[in-house]
Amino acid sequence: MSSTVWSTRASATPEVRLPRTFWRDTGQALRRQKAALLGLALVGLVILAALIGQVGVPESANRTNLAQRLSGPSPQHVLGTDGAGRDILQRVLLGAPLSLAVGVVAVAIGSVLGSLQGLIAGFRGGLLGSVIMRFTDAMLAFPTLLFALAIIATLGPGLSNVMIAVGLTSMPRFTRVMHAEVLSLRNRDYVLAARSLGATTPTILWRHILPNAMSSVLVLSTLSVSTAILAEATLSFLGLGPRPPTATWGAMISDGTSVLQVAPWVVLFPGLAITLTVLGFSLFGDGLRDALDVRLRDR
Amino acid sequence: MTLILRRLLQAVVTLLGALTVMFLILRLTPGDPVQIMLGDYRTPELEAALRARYGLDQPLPMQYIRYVGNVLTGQFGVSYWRNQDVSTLVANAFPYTLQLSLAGIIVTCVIGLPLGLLAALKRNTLADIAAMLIALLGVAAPGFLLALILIYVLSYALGLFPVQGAGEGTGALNQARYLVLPAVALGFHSAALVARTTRSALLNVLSEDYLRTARAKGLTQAALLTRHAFQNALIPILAVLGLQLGQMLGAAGVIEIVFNRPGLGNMLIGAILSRDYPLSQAVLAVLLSGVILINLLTDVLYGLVDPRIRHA
Amino acid sequence: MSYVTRRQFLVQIAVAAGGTTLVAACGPAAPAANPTVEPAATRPPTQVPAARPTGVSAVATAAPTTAPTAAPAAAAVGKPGGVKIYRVGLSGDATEMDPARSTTQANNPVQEALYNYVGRYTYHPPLGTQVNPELAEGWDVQDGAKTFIFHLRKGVKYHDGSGEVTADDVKWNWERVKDPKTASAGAPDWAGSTLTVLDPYTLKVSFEQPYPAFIGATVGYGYAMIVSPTAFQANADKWSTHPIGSGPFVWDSAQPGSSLTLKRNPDYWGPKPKIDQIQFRMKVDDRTALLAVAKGELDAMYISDPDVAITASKNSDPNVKFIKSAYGQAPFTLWFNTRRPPLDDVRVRQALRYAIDSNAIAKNLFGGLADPIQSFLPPWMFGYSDEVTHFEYNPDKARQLLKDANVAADWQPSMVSQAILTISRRVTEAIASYWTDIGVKVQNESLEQGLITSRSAKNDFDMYGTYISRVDPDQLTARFWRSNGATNRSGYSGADDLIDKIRNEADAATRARLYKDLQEKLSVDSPAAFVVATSEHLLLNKRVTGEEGAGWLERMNFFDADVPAE
Repeated sequence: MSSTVWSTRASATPEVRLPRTFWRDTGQALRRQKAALLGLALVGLVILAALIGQVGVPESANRTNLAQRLSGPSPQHVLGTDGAGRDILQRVLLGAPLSLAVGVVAVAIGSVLGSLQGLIAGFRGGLLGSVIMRFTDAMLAFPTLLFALAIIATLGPGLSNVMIAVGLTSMPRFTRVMHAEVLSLRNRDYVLAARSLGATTPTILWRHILPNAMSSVLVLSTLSVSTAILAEATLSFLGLGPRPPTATWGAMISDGTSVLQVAPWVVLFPGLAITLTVLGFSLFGDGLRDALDVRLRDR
Repeated sequence: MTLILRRLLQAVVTLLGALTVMFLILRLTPGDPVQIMLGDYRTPELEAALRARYGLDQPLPMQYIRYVGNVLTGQFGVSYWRNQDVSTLVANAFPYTLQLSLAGIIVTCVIGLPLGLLAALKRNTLADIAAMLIALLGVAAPGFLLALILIYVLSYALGLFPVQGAGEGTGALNQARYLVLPAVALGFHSAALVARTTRSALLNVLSEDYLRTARAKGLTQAALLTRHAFQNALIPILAVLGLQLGQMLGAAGVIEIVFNRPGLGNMLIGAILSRDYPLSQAVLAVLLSGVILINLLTDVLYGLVDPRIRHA
Repeated sequence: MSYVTRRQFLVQIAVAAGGTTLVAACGPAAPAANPTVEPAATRPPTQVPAARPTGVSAVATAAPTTAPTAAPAAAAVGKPGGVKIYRVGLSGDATEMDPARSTTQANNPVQEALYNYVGRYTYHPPLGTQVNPELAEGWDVQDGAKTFIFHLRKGVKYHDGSGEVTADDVKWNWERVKDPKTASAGAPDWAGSTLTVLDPYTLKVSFEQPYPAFIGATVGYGYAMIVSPTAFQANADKWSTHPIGSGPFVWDSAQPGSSLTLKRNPDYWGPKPKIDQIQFRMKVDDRTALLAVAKGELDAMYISDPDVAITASKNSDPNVKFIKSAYGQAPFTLWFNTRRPPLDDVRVRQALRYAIDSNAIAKNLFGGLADPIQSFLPPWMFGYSDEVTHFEYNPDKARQLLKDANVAADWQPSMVSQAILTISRRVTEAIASYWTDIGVKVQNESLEQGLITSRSAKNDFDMYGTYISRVDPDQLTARFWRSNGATNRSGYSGADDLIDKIRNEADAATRARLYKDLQEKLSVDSPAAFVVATSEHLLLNKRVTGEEGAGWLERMNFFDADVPAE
């Protein structure tokens, strides 16, 4: 019957206790993962940068200073200046909370809505499931740009609309992954067992399917944070980004591409910021995934 | 077999539904093809004349009925800007996008699968971390930036590849030279996802009971991997690859723009930004069919690989 | 697809020049530079070296047959028996081969190679803004610029041998532009015209009102190129891939959206081009253009991105020649929507102008490749005057004016501009920053093309910034500043009388004076801020000879350009 200690316990314990134990166990397991800790540290660093950017950067950071444009790193401007003569260090800090928000909010939108769809489609199956999955197929085929353009053109340009656009475009991927997970989980022994013991559908979903499917969704989420940050960059590159002088890293990179040859630092530092953020989320997510997976945890 | 037939039927319905949604999204998105076309030369009379020419003066339901009628008879219309039949335009561009996407997925597999395998085998070692880091490099930079950097370093500084174009009208070998950098720029991004999925899937499978049993019976790790684990891990990997290929068909656009290659994505971005409805719709229909087909194949493959799903 | 998006700057379409009316031939020895309308013509002009105009209108003619006097000396040789392939990058996509229906700039260089004009803006040195007879041997301007008589050249054949270019053909072409059914953007220029064929080689065009800018703004502009009527009528729906004209090059092949090849017309009636083939590449990104030219993948391309242009202008790569055009700079104009308070108050508009440091923008953002301007005309154009009220950078005065006008502290005007162009983004960002300095928190709405045009059409903005590229001042006047102008974004109505007077004034000197008055009027009333004028810059691979960069709308000199055979 149940293949894991945890799911036995889960079906035997009232709901209240489950999350606490679950998260505590996960936390312990997480601490054993060095890579995950490194990832966590990086994410922490980014959050710290975001806090500094939120409170510690003067408003003048967005002011153009034409006489100073494209000057290389120097004591005065540690990371150099960009095409409008703005200090890149200040702008990278300023961009931290914005880019982080783009990533996190977009993924929150996409993962919650997408997973829900996938869960329903996978578990219910039938006509509803088919409709949802065909709808998802269709959405997947819509290029991000079209969605983004439609949303941004309708709602107007601006960072929050970029987030919504990017979030909605990430949705079908979550649906697909959740659907695949549910399909492979719903006929597992322990689910069948739980059902034969009279567990209701919501209970089965909540206790058995969701926790086990969660690892894949989390893996996708951590990667999607970076995808979202990059999608924002691409939208900026195509002229659909946030309104200037909003200092998202994506907008900074796309702005720097025309001076890549003469002033590589303009692209380098926001690029580095994105790299570290992506790295942080991915390593952390990987660790989290391993930690969440009880079967791996036991070994 | 009935499954496949049913899915095919569903695919057709999906396609028709999606075409309708597309039609609506395109028309309801602010921005007027006629105004864009005329720019600063616009006058009310000219706008009216062009609207009449493109049938944009009709009410939306009428336009829709006409569109459906045309699609059913295989006519996707004439591009506003090019004054050319859109089917011809799409047919011209399609091979380039297909080439690029397939080359991209090959790059993805070549980078992603070995790294994922390595990471799973050497879990929680330095090799694991290193493999994941390499894979992550592709995710860490936007495709257009990676493309530009590749162009600067490999094409401009080292002269290894052409800077731009697809070598249209030249031999296959020469065209392959033009394909390398765009494929890397396109495929590298997905490598991390594939590597991580491979790693996760393998680890997942390796912890399954029957593999524990197999291990207990004394099978070596390598034998385990090849004989049992990989086949079962294939489901999520295929799912991800299928998704990525579908995504690439659309995502190729930005790469095509940077490398100045012909292709559907390139054409679509231009068509959408200039609100060339017939061309947008035709390209989208092709991309949609492609993605739906790929998803269909992936689902069928699932069934072949995982008997539990087939019987479900 | 048509990347209007990429370069709204140097807007669509073809070309025209700074000239004024024109003249046809002034006899063999006359060296042009005649600022007045010269009625009557002697023809045919032979050997007339075109005079380089100096600010004012230039009138000149040079017979194309004798043309490139200033053609560069050494011809490129290369492999014996090889083919001379000239590879040209275009910023946009040449989508339309029908000149009347052309709407993108990228069509222009391709069409100029395929077709002839009746009179063409000069393309060979000395460069300038004169319209030279091409299919015409000359023209007469009569009735105070109400009547124009064109005397056509004999024996000019179409590519497909479908006959000779006659007055009937020209009439057919131009009436097609005028016909509302064609929906040609050139149609408004033909309002009130009557075309009459006097004999197979003579065409009379008369207008109800004097139209002295006819030659410069209409005949020399892209819509007025001549296609073969027979071929067009037989093949209208396939015209995009089967264009037939009488120009120096003939259609060869195309991969839609990415490349297009023309071959030299072996039977061309005029001076033969030196190159055998032109291969156009579409939608080349400015960022990669420099690299492609350096690597010899492209021979020539105009770029607009100021960052790339500055890099190229420093001759960073020995394989690239950088040419800063003397002509064709387009003014960056920032319209104030005077329909909306507080922009209806002239003090507010003036304050906003005082707060912009055009000199710093020209010098630092454009590395000196742009000129600061105070006028709605660019410095190279006929009628330009710098003797207008200047708004030199003075933030204190700006603040004072805002205070006098009681502008609310929380005023957040919207500024609409084109997002994707570095050239546009850099300038608007700088301006937004200057205005923030005086306490105006402008919302910089950097939009894609579709939104821009719909906002523009609805006049839904407080400020609207863009480059407008035209050749004749007439094209920049009534449409933008007259109260009933189709693109009068400011809602300005203070200069209607003056504008009408200019349009009908046949005497060039008087017209220039009136333009000066108009510039002063627009400066004082400030319905817009005029910031800098900048152009596209030409990048050439070092193997190219004979191209000097005609300056606007990506025009190239396909007659004199030469490359080694390969």
